[in-house]
Amino acid sequence: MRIEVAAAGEYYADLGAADQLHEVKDLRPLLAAVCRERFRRIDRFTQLALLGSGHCVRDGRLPADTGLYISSGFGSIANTVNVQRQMFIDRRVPKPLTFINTLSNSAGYYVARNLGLTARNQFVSRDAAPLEAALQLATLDLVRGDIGQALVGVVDEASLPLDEHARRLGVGADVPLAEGSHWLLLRPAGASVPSATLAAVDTLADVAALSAWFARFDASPDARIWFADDVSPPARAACPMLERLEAALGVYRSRTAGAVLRYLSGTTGEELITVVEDDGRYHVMRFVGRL
Amino acid sequence: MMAGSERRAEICGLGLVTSLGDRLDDNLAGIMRGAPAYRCRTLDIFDEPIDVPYLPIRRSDAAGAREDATFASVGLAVEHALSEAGVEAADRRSMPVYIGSSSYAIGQSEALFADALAAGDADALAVPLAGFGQVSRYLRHEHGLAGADFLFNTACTSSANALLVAAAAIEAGRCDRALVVGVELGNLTTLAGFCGMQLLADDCMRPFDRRRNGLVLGEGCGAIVLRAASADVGGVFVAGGASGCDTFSISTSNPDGSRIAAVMREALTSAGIEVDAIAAIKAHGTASPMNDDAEAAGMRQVFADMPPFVALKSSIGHTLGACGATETAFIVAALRAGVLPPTAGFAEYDDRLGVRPQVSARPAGAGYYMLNFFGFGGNNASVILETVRRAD
Amino acid sequence: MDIEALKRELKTLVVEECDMDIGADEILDDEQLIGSDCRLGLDSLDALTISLAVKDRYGRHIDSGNETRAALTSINHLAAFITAE
Repeated sequence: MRIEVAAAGEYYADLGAADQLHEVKDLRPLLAAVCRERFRRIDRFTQLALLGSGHCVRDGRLPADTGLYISSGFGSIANTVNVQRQMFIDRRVPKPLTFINTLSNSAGYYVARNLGLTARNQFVSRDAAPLEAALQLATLDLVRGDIGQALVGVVDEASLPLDEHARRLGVGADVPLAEGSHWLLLRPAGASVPSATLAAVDTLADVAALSAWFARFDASPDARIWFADDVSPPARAACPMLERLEAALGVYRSRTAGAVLRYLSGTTGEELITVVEDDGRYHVMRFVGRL
Repeated sequence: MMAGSERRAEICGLGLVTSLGDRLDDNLAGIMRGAPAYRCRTLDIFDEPIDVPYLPIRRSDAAGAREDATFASVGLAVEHALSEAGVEAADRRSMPVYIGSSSYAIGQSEALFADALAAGDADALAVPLAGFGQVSRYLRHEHGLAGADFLFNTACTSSANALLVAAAAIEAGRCDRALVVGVELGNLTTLAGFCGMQLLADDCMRPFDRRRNGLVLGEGCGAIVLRAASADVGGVFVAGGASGCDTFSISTSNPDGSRIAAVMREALTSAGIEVDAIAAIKAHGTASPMNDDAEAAGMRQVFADMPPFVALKSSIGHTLGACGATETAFIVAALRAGVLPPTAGFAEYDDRLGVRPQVSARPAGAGYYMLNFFGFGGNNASVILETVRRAD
Repeated sequence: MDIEALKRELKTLVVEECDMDIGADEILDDEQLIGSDCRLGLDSLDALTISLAVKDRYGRHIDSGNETRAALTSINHLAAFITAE
């Protein structure tokens, strides 16, 4: 089955480096434009999810058989940090609302409520490859016919103080950080030729499997670009014919999703291949065409 | 009905490490006994210390408690399941791993932060282990499970969703084997969070009972190996299931039971069976006043004649994100033994609920069994198992 | 503290704790706080949040029993519960 990328939308913000910046943008004023109702008591992670999904589903309406898939590298990290600080520094039981918001699927609840969705509502993560995990799930459900379309989002927030956030990300205080909420609407390709398709999303066991995966494509480097984060030299050697996409994104766990959105809405290349190296494995995606 | 020759997901390996023990037969014996031995845990870090009932993992080896910091209990459950399923070392490299947990490594994260604070570290970092990947990295490094990992975090339906997706992947031919793991290890965030939500019972769990006053949290790890098989050979299969979303309220199900009923009906449809084919139900049964209301209402809407039903959380505690895997493993172990376990803690019928769980064990034969799981954030899941007699 | 000042303080507490859109002075003294059938439309999670905030600030414990639960009916009830001997 060919999977069409029917729409894409996002919220993205460069934050600068931790040693220069000490606050994140208040998202509340932006929410009114994408929300059917004013949601009380929601945290920043949920706000990001609502913004990104709202920008992807512009008229705010989806058929009832739409599956929702949210992924994230860190989940609702700012809230989780608050809870640990409340417990271990203030020596207090966390407030019910703060505790509820530490649950990753709280964001899915509000996105589903905002878009009127009642079908499956998944939150699935994977360390270095959150988007790939969510897409593997969504395409399985689409191929089986369990759902008619899939709304897939990857969301990562920055938490304050930013120097601590940089430590959790394993980068120095001088590295530019970012946060984002990147969304795709997928459906089975119909009779007409879709402008963009998700051609593959795979997890490969090692470099040999990665080389074999690349070997399936003819070498037409002009049309094909790629994006990869922290890929080791052997893996880089496996795909020499590709031109690197300069996505100019700050550091956050959903960065690959940011690159995909930039490619889909950009003007360069006819195909995008992404490679993420993760503990000796490789997660790859291939998008053909653009929106 | 699915044809026998169709590609189906058979449950071929089980592992359980819970408050009832660290071996499958100990767990089965414990669940058949019913009444658990509640412990009390004092949350003494707070300015006002709090006593809560708790059901921690019981390991038979002395090293158990110490090793929990390294996910050893998860590893033990996984090894038991892989060993029963006869999974070779080479197969582990490619087998996908579907994990469900509500808390992942939050307990380890807390311990690191608390230690840093105690040592007077001015740079003590809250949540030093961010993200969800610690358990799967452990299974990859220590147990050679290097296939694609899927880390579900949908509160109390986490590992039920993991099981449903793993079964779907097998049926669709994406893999021939899959490992499902439910993990819930002791941590302060969960205990204090549930305490703050006023969801914890004073002493014990009384599911669907007139006097029910909350839940008891339990620690537990459950592992289930699925393999592609045809039903011709007999065994226990995932026959269908559904996962749905109730947007009534972030913290409670719609009290009218309509969304719970909808997900049960969808599960029946997915298994291709009528409502009267269900031999018995494993309820979610959190013994919290409002959730039992919604669940009873939902069951009564779907089942005009209520089949026998049981609730297991009063025996092992609520293992939250792990309960999809732990409770499914308990039910499968019992079905293999030809029995349905009893419901602990129920005594007084509540005419507002109009349902009565089975309080003693009863024989269970071939047929369809419905397992229900509901959670915060409106996530509802229903799993249908089918036991097919082995042709002797 | 006089009772009017306490009520103003309680209205601010409710608006802040429950992340409401309206100004504290827009809540009427005898207006129903909890329930989907009333204007303010607060839910069980709000009720729990208000209870904990009241316990923190005034040292009065609203448990799940019917008698103290009635304290959450309105600002008037809440103020009376806090000032009761």
